[in-house]
Amino acid sequence: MKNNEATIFVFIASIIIGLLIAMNIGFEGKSNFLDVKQYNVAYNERSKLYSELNNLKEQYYNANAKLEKYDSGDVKKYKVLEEIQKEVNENNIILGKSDVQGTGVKITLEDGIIDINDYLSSSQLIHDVDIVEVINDLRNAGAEAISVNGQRVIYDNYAFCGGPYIDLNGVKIVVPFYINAIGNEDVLYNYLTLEATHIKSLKLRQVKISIVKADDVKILGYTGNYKNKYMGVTNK
Amino acid sequence: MVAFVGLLIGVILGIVWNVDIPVKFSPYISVAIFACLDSVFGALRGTISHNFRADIFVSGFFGNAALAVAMVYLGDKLGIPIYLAAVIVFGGRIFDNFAIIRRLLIDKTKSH
Repeated sequence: MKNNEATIFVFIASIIIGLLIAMNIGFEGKSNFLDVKQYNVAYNERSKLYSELNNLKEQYYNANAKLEKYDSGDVKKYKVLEEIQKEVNENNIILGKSDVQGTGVKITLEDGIIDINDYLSSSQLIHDVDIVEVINDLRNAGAEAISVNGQRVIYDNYAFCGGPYIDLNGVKIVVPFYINAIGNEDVLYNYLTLEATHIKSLKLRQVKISIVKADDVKILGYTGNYKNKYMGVTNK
Repeated sequence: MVAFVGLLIGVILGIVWNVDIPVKFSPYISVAIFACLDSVFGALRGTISHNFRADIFVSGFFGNAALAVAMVYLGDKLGIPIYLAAVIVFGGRIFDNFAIIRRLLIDKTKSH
């Protein structure tokens, strides 16, 4: 009797063990354990994922803080408006619509005539092309804003010789020409005086030139309109 | 003999049901299997030497497994491989029991 009881118990226990073994081993050929190499690979993977997770958490935190800033009631509108205003100001500066000031150079160009009776050759006169070339030189030297006789030079300016005057973007300007430019004053000055620029050739042509560095060049904004008749944004 | 038959039935059942335990619990189950195996060898020895007691077997069967699993868990948390203690103890006992079973069986066949 006792032997019989033991047999039943052992039988049940064996079945349980068999079940556990079958469950644990898994007969689909996959191993539940890693060898050293696999372990290292997995460990590195885990470290990488953890650091990634930290980065993402930081990003989430930053984004959340930003969102909160926008989301807090009246401050929200105010903040958004402020951001928009900031962007508009930046765009205006890029377009040349706002008055700007900064360090730069002041150039004065005058026809190389000393006396009204002297013989005046064409090479001593300042032409539309010269103005354009000087503007080009200034741009090349890194000038951020340029004005000619108070006229702001913007992206679509042209100069056209109208005889005694020069037509700069529709505005008639006459000698002397005061060209102001904002940029690094030393760079601008050195470039204009040392390099083989158009100013140099103007000097050879006996045009009266004065270039002075200035700490506080003020340039007014462009007051005209921006008209785009033909171009439009491409359809994406 | 009956143990082998039971083992076979269990394995077949496990394959048929195809229960997959999570990989996370794999080490626990392994140690539990070892503990159960130890109990079964103890029971076999008891059966042969006629001093088998059901209560001791059942309590040992589940108690040893539970203790082994608990030790694995604790070792996992503490960072030391405590499960080695369970493996060594159970392994040693299985060999002891097997040795005694051997002796008893050989004595039995000789006395006949």
